[in-house]
Amino acid sequence: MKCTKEYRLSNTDKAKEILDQMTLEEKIYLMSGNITLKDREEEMKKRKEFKKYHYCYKPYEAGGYAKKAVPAMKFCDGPRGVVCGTDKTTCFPVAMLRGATFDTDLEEKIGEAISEEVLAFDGNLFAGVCINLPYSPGWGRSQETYGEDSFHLGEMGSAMVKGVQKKNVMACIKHFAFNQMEISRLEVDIECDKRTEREVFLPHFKKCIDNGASVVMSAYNLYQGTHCGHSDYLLNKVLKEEWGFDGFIISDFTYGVRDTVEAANGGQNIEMSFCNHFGEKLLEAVKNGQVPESRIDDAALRIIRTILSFTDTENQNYGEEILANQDHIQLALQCAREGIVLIQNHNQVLPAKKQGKIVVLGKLGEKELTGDHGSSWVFPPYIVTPIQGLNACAPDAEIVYYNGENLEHAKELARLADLVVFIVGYDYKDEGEYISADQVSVDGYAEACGGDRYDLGLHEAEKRLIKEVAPENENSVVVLIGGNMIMIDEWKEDVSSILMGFYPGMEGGTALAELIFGDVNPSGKLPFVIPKDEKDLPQVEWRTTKQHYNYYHGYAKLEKEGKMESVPFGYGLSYTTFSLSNPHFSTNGNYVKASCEICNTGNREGTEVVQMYVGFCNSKVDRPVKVLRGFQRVSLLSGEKRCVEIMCHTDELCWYNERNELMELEHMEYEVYIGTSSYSKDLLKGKISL
Amino acid sequence: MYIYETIDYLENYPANVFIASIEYSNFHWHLDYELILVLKGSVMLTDGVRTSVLKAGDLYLVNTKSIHSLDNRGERNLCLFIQINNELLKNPKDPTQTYFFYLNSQDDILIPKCGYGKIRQAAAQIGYGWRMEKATGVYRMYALLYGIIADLFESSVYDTYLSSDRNSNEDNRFLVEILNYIQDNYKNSHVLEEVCQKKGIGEKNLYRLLKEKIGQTPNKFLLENRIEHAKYLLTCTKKSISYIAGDSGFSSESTFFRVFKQTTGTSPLQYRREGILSNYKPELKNYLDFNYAEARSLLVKLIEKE
Repeated sequence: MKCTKEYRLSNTDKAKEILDQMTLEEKIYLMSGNITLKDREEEMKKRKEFKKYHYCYKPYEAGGYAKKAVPAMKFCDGPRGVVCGTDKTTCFPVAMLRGATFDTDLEEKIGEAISEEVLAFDGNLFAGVCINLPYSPGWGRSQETYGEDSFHLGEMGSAMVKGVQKKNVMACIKHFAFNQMEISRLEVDIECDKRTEREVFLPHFKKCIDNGASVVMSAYNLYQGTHCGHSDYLLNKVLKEEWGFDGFIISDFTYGVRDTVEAANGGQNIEMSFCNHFGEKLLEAVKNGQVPESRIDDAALRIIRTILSFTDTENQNYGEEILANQDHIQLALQCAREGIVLIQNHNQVLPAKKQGKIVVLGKLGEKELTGDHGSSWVFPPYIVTPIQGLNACAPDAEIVYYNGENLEHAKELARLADLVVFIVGYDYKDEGEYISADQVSVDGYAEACGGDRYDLGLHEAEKRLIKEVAPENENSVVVLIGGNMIMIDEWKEDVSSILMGFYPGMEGGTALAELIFGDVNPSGKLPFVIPKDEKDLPQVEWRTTKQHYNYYHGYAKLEKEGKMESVPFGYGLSYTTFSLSNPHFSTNGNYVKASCEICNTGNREGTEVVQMYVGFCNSKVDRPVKVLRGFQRVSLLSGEKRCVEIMCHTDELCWYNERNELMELEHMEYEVYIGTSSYSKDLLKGKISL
Repeated sequence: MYIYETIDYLENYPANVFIASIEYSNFHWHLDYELILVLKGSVMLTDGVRTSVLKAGDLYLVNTKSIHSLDNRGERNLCLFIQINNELLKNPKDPTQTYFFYLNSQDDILIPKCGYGKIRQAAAQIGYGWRMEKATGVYRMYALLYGIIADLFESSVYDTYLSSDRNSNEDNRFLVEILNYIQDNYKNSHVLEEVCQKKGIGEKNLYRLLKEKIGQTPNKFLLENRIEHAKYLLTCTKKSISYIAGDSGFSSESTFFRVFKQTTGTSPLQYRREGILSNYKPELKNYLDFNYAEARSLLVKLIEKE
């Protein structure tokens, strides 16, 4: 990767030279989207006409300084692929599924593939590194992020940053910060204490910055009373001063900047996607002294330096032929194979035989399940539905699909089947970026959709379908479709097997079938906990103007409160079995090390995600029982044995001391665990002292 | 094998529309989906493993490639047929998928959400050539047909079969050949052995095939044909019982007596005595001629009823 922070900083003098020759107007021109209001109106009008003029159908540009060959920033949205074009780009599984792979190497490769597609549209920025932590899994856009754990989020987000920037495309992390509510995202003011801020909601952003992320998108919501896009605290103090961020900040679109002076002084660098509060209003504010010119110089320097760094390296020429090519599609398929999680498999009903009569039920069975219809909507050349995938994978089986509305008919079909597969869960109407009825009329969207989930379970009709029909056949599989945790306890004992399918991308139907029939051995792990009761999770008022985030959420909250989960964080089954032995825990300078031997004790090859947790029972302050601090995928042939070693820097064990405002390492005895999920029975335990 | 009145109002209309009086129609299949609206009388329809007796006002959809037979069971009837080109019911994104609809107004479980009335009315309007005298009639006829298809997808219960087809063409052709052979040769006492030999199929496989596709064993299917023929001879001729037994393919008079009693609940002689009238004329096997004006007035009644 050429565009490291060091490389970018080495371009400071060059950028300053250019800056010195620019007028104030030219500098301010860099600071907002190039779309005019009229362009925007035109675009909205066109959007009503054709799918081809969807949001971000071509990159959104901002700034540029032609005199000195500084190109405009060219923004392409994500994260499930490149949003530009129609029927052209690779649609990967959503980030939540990618999180379930626990495969940072694969995520980096996906990042590279995505950046190649960005370049094919002549873009230079990918805004698809969403690393917001879902405080509640009901957050409608949690499909865009990797999971509930900050450490894991930071690792997956960093992998994407590295992959994208390897090909000299700027990686933009978002939404900075505290953006994990959708319906109220424009109004909600988030509050939390400092420890929660520093230990739960910011570490993954810092990690991505440390791993070289060059652009940050500010969030819509407010934090402690200030819009994040205006926040001197978040943008100037934390991001730029404390973390030494060298790149630039862009606002979330249209509503990310509300006030010229507050935003400019708060450290906002580019107003997206069109100029409303910046431009002439900003010029005016500088001239009358409300915004110091140094603020403009800082913004311009950051923009020029970053864009120059990403431009003057050898950007290869990528044409349209790179879009959704076989390699990229294979990556999308590989990812779905690795990320779909086998949650339950009573009586080894799976893998299923590729013969006989297979009845597929549920309205999602014939749907194209790639995720929401908001800003992350990607338009691939084709999408394999679950029934198409099953049919292609098992050509000799008789596959019958019925949407399941009439229970009597569904029962009759199930009785005659060798296997019943329920495809249930959500689609873009149930969750995702929120398109309100107002926006439908104003912004030319097709229909109101998305939003947060008020109920974390399946739709009533789907629950009824499973509970009534599954008992008719002893071989029944539920495939869950959705962007985050779905409650299963009401019906899980009525079925033999459960797969968490997420939104598995353009080749999702293929991967689902390969996993169901055992062509591929499942290896995904849940990047969230499934509780027995929704109330065990933090409760969020989705339509509100104020929300407090507590220190605990997800598996850490359940564990702290001693509540048994339904399915633990990090859990996922395989068609083979693994045994772990000979654990060893030690410290080595600034690292904590956990190792063990892992053996594939079953009769086929398989992959296990070995996980390392660190516990804080001896802490003098209130800390989680344990948290994830390392993971590694290990592939083993039947009977193969290998030693696995996982390291974690002691910085990862710090807590935030509000008295001196520093991250501090406690000197005490820590519990260290190594195993195959966060569940105590799946872990080997030891102790280390620091 | 049909004598029918076609309704040719449009060139290239993606459906064949005709009205017929059905006497009897052998097992057969076609690619078209066939919507049947009974205007008068009744008809017994065997569609795969299901048999329904449809009465005036009843609506039934025979799916593409579905093997079916029709029989008036002695009562005169009048039916509207709309044979919809199967290309119209294909998923453009995946043409290998085949849809199998459940539309049978005798069924009170799988009722379409829009009810039968809406589809019945549209079918009657197509049968009548609704508003064809107007300039917009062409569009109306297309709209009615597409409206029915939309209602089928929106309202009715249907299964989707993926490319591994519910009934492949070849399998169907083979099955129909077998059924027709048995029906044409039931007088031969060894017809089942003959058909196995002629078609190169083992007895066990023949049993499995018929059981799966029409829900009957070969013996039962053969027997039904024999009994039907015997009933005709009993009521419409003065042939002796021993002649009838032989002509219907029974090996002996005693077997004939036993089987006839088992099947119909009455003895051959009693059946003859009660003189149940039958219009059954096996040489015809046809859709009979009918009064077109009568059909049109029945259609208007159905249109106005909704």
